[in-house]
Amino acid sequence: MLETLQMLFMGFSVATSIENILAAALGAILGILVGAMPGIGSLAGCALLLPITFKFNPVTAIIMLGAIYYSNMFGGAYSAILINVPGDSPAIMTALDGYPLARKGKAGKALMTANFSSFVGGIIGMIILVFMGPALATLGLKFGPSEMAALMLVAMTSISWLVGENPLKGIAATCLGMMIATMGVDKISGNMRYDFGNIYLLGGISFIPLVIGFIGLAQVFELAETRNEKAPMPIEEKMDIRSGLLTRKEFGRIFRPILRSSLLGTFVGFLPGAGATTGSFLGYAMQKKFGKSEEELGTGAIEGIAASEAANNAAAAGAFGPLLSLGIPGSGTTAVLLGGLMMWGLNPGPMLFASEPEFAWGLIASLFISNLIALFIAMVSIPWMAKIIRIPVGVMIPAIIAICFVGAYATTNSMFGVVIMVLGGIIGYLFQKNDYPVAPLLLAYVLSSNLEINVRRALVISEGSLSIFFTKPISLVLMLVFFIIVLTPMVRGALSKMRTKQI
Amino acid sequence: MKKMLTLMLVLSMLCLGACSTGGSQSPAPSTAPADTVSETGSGSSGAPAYTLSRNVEFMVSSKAGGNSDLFSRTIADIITQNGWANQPVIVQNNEDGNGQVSRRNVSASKTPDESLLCLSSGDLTVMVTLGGGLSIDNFRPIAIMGADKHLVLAGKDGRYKTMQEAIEAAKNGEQVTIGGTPGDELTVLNMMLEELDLVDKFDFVSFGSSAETVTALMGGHIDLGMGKPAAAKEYVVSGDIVPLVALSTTRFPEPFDTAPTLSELGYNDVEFPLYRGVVGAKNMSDEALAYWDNVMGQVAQSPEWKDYLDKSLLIGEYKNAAQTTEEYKLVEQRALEAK
Repeated sequence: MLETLQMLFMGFSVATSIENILAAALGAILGILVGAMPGIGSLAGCALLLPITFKFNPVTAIIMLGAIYYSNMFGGAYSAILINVPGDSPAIMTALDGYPLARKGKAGKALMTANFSSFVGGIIGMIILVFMGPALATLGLKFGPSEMAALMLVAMTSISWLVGENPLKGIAATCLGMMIATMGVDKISGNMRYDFGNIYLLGGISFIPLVIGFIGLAQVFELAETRNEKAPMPIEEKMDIRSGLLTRKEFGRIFRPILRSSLLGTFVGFLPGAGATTGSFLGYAMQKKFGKSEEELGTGAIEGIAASEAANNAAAAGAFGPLLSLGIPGSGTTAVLLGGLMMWGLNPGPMLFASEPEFAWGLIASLFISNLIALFIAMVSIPWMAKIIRIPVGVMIPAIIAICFVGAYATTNSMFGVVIMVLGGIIGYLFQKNDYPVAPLLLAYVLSSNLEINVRRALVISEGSLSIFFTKPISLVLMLVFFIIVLTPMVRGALSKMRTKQI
Repeated sequence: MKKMLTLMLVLSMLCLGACSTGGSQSPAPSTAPADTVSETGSGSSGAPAYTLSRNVEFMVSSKAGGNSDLFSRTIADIITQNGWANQPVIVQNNEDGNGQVSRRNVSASKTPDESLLCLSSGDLTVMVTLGGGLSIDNFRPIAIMGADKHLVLAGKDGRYKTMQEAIEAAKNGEQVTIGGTPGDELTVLNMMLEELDLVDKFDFVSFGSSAETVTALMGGHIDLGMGKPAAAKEYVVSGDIVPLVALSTTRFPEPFDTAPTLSELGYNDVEFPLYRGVVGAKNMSDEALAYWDNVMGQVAQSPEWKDYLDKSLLIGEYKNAAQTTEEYKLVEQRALEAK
């Protein structure tokens, strides 16, 4: 414990040299900007900014890279809240409550909640990383195919809280999401599935353009349709930092969701291959299940924003655990970071902390610093960021359309992304018109491909026997949780029926 | 003041947007030195007097930051820094259609002399398996710049401590699970199983990369794994992963030198190197091919390239255009047979 603290202080002394702080600040600014651009998000953002770091010495470069990675996670929430176009996939859940709150004229509050939750989530994740990193990373290794499959099943139950008023429509949306996820080359056997002879479909439907279309473009259509009916934005808030600040009562409201989500998010971040998206989905779902909020979730509750953003940033911090102590990237973005580290001749893995302590602890310390810098920059920019919401609808429509197109193009570097985005937008609009919920479709897409791969791997390992899910302790526990969640409402329903009969 | 700030923000956003739409090219290094290059020309170090007439597009069919991407960017940087091309070499990533779109676009490029593609023998296997009419005949192979060979790995606490134990177990009908990627690693696994007379006796668990396989091995979820040195080195040094056999004609250098080759175990050696190479468009002119052949040869000789090979644990197996064509035809044939 004491030794860990000593090492951390040594790390701070490395990270607080002038050039390293400047590098972290530059990284944080670029990261927020890039993260706020829809479609670029943290994965592409890191890949895009990676070459800039090649000009510095290794420690400085890595610190800047860490700052870019970290502040990207802050930026993702901006466009989600302000224009309902999630900057990256973890921000989908932030948009659910962030955008309605912004429409109520409280954009400043929404942004502040997002930033503050991101900050706290990140700090909690980092503290856990410092003290329990290697231990948790080793625990994460225990999550093999059967355990991941069971975890995905538990995560999928969260869809049921998002299906909305008409369960049948929600289930239809879920099924469509799962079907879209099966398209492209089968990752297990290498066979083609549902490519319809089209070369582009061999790679499946890319997720980010789909999200931008389904949420962003669909909403533009809706705005265009109702722009004459819509009352101008309520102006109840002055746009300065103070009015964006949260009251003590509001801090009280988001305290528990942040804490819960941070712990959960960190843990999810440690699992190989789970990542920040699963983290924010689970954080939001947990809030829906266990948390209380004044407004209903999905209508602009700050609890929802806090739950999703804290989990997302905690997962981003947690993902450094397996990356640094085992060399295993927990997400696509950390995989890019791993590539960057290797360019510097650094091989993250079990030997890293022993062979390059200055570098490893310098990076961890710089995460704390860049988190602080990112919070500062984000807070300063809130007042004029929040003004975006006041822009008249007639001007906003073409602007959002342009952002949607650029974002979709940027993800795939090709027009294919744009085609998916436009089709997604049309289908998304039809969904809205007919009261089909969109969130289950997106959630099903993310989770089901993960579920499929892991179930199939597990079944190869067990030679086709389903017992693998019930004989390993971790997956057994997760399966029990799954059955409890699924069966509770049924049992409850049956019991209350019996009771009414007795009476 | 506020207006200034807003303007600056908008401008920087636009710049970033422009960067991202133009492909994730490394902005400063690949474009800036172009002027100095055109002054020195390309004839400085014995290259044939041939000049490129436009920007060179170096396509990578996988995502930025991956192995192929780093490989291509290193080549582009070495060419640029040494002034071996009179035009900027710009690396572009496009993963559409599982990489098939980049491959098709380069093959049918309208600027064939300035279109390059990073094509490993693993990509080639995938390309042939996916079908759609693309074959190595649709490209002009330029060079193989390095190679990766395979090892069979086991976890420190795994069931099998040596390859013989695993072979015996499989012969006795025990279930042996082995992880690997469905491309080159599955191919070399099948070659090995054929040699060991154990066809279909191992259960193959498919993973997305060698790194994923190593992760599963360390968690004890599979018995054995196919892997390449770069993905396993740290864990072999730390003792978490044990190399059981080298699929090569000679042993690997440290720390993999404890793993015998198959011939040491009394079988014939089996190897299927994953070549990392560069190919050009189908209609590339003979002059341009000769030019690129020469440039890649220079890159392969350069100290920077040797440094990269060392860092990424690749074997420096340079092959020129003619040899590459021959080698890739063999790879393609094997992929077709497997299909």
